[in-house]
Amino acid sequence: MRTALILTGLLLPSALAAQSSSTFYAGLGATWSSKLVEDNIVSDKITTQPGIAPTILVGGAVEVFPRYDLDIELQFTTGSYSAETKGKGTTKLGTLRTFSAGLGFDGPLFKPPFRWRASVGVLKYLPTEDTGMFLQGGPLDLLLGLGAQYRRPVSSSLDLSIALRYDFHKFTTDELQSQGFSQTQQVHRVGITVGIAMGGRR
Amino acid sequence: MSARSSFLIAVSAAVAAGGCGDITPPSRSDFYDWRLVVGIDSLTFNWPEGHTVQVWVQDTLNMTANTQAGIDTWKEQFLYQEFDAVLVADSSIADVLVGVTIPPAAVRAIRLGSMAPECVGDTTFPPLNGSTIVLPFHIRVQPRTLDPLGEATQACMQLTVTHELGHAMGLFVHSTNPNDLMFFDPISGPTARDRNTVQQLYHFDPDLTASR
Repeated sequence: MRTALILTGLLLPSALAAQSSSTFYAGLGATWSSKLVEDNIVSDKITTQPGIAPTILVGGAVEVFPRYDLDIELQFTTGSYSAETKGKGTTKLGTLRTFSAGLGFDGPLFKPPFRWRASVGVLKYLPTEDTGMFLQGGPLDLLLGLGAQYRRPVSSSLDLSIALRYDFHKFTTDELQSQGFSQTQQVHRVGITVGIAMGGRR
Repeated sequence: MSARSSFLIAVSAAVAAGGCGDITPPSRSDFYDWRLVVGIDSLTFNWPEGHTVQVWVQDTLNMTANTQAGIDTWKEQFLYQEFDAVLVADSSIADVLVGVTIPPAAVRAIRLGSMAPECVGDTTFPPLNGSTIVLPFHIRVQPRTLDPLGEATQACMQLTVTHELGHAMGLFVHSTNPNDLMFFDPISGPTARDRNTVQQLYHFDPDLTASR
């Protein structure tokens, strides 16, 4: 699955290059995530949550209707995650990386420098160690997202791009299920990246 | 379709698809008592959070690998890294000593044994000094066959040292369920009951501390 996503990311730009109305963008930023799991053991309330994670975002878009684009966006985050026991302290559980790929549709928002984006895709959790709730590996989840993008020229061929992204997915793992956890946790993520954009409408 | 209406449609669709909901933890209601009974008191011990238990192993009869497997098995029972242990080369700093010897018949100690056809094991520690366990814990596992490196004996020794490590973690009482790892004569495990028990143990405030 990971290989397919990486190949998609590598092949997309060349496919889009044939389109005169294609746009490429890339950025660096940070992503915040809501809690992954809330647990109760004896009288302890334990909340597991990723920390704010450095983020790389790359994407490409092609105009499919006047003013509306179809795009593919890849996002990679890497950061720590920890378990906080209310009133007792926090335990660092390790490094948690995520890789997501989304197919999006975007259009103008309010006025030209701003655009909105809606997307559907997949998110893969990539813990550096298979321990705890990731003992049986990280899950692959369906991802739904919304976003906004601001773009302003800084040179004849290059634009400054600021992308705000929100997405959510339903989280659980094989290990949590095997330990008797039921239902799934709605996880919300908000990220912002600053980078460059090339091509397309300006 | 205007830009504003298309944006609002996208937002509405996303919110409707997301809804709200939380994962539901298990009740962990199926567990057994772990407390050390001293007189009329039932006492809880667990290793403090952040302490990595130092385990020294007598390097013979594959016990290093068996003990490491036992440590890994127990660590896998936890979701939030409540317990950690490592093998160390220096027995003088160890919290737990694992030896391949015949358990002494008469020693003034708190003794928690286990028995299987192929091997026998026990865990001992000196009588309490007030509310303090005087380290180290002594674990002894001894083969009872003529082929100590044979498959059945090795399986027994790994299971038994894992069981004994459970005692050194604070599971001071044997389960009454023959399927549990902490049954006095374990045949397999750990089970969900073992996991529930050790997870609860490590979220109880201890009555006992450990000291050298």
